[in-house]
Amino acid sequence: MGRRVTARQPERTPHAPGLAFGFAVPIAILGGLVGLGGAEFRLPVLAGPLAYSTRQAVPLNLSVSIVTIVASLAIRSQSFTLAPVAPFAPAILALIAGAVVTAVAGSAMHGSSARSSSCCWSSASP
Amino acid sequence: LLLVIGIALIAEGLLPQTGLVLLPNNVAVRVVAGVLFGLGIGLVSSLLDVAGGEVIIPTLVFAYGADIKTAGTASLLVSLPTVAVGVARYARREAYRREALVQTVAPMGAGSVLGALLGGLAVGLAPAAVLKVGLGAILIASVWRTFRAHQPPPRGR
Repeated sequence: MGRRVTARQPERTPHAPGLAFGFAVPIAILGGLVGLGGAEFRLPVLAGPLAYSTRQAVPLNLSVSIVTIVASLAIRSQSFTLAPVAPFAPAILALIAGAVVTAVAGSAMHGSSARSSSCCWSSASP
Repeated sequence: LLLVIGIALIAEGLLPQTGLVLLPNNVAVRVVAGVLFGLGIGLVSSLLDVAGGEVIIPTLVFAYGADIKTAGTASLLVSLPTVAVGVARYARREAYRREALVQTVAPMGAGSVLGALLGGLAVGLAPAAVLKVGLGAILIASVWRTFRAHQPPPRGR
């Protein structure tokens, strides 16, 4: 609980853009293939080689997830048709409805718990 | 739970036709169940700050009988608004600094677009069994990592 900011200086090293690009490619191949955002694989990269604290890494990671998801959807609609998804439309809409409700509720919770680190892999961050 | 799902997916991938579908083919039941599943998925997504695909895909495969490729596409559709909520939340809290956006998000995004294009093109070619086993392995790997992160001295399993 102590709020000491010990080991990790805010800017330890430059966050090498080439490294970010290099790691992103294979992760997104996997994500694009299976249908994932790939966030759980990028987090260790952001927090490891790219030297972000977990608190900084999580929002960055999420924004890259969006890019991956949009790109995957775009390519899937070309390479492979979206038609088989149609019968599942009611289920998909229901899932979206439920997921957005708790995502918004969860975001309110995050907001009220202010700056407490939210993520699970972050034993190292304050 | 993820471990069980991971094993189930691998088993399903290896056994060619099991066709396990948990929900009856009734639109009302499916929609109500979908909202309930969705509530859980949104919770997982916002607590762990991930897109939630590893939970969404098994839900669609086992509860609704979707094939793995369709489930992948559907998962992306469900993830998109869920993740958008998360990004909006962080943007409101000004969690994005210009420097990090330029140095990391831009190149990572570019790499991700390239990777997603390659992965997306491969979906048409890859056999479904490979995808199932792959996703199962990913789930088990995530469980393993989370488990180790929570218990610094690894105890095995």
